[in-house]
Amino acid sequence: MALYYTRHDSMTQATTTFSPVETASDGSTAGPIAIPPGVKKIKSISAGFAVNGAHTVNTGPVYVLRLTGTGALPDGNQDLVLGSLHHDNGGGTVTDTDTVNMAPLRIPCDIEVKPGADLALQAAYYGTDAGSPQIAIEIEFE
Amino acid sequence: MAKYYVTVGNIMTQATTVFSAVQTLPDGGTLSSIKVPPDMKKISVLGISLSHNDISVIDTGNNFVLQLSGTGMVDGIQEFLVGTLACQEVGTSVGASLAAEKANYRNVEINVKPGEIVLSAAYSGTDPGSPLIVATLGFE
Repeated sequence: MALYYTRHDSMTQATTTFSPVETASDGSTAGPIAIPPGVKKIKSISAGFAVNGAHTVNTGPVYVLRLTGTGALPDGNQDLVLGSLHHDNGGGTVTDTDTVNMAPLRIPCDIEVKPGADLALQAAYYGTDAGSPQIAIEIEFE
Repeated sequence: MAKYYVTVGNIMTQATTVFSAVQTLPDGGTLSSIKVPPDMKKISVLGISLSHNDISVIDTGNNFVLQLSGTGMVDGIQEFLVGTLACQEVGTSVGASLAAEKANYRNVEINVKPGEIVLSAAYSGTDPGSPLIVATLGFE
């Protein structure tokens, strides 16, 4: 049987700086995920990301997830690339409206975890600051 | 299935068909080579994300290659085609676009041994500005 948990957050930090992804879907600050009893591994990770607010033109950051937490990961921290979001406006001043739809990225994996420990999610991005991206993560335990 | 993931990236400011190091950690640190984790025998997953970091130079199209080398590679240097970026403009109009792309995770089978792995990247085609490449290696 698999168990599923989600967290999300707004990324307001500077480039190449990790910040917590710890807000629950009901808006509460849930913090790290308490790894349930009997669970042995993370079976998959799903992720979505979009700039919430104006996406600074001519920026295209690439997002990264870090799994961490004291005692949670016998093999240590894990960093996984998630994807990119680029807003191009050339050198002009054109007024435009753009939309983009994207299904979540899903990464099958086999990351060992320790039941009872707290799994902390953090996110960072490479490249120029695009504004305040929203990032959401789903963890599938088994 | 991979169980140990390492990620590095870099903005590529070099000229066409020139390899440069991919060695920046997501926290801004530098990892000039990746030490093969203990007891890991192969890289089984390669995750890649590409983006234009700023203005994409119009009428350019580029294919990107990631190279793995170093003492940790059992079978020597390996090169992977990891994606394409393009930007086109018709006439003298100025347009805009919003592009989202999930990282591409593919299965690979790269034998590794205790040692170091060095990542480098290059592109073909006209210089597109400052493309950004981020790579995740999944070991098992």
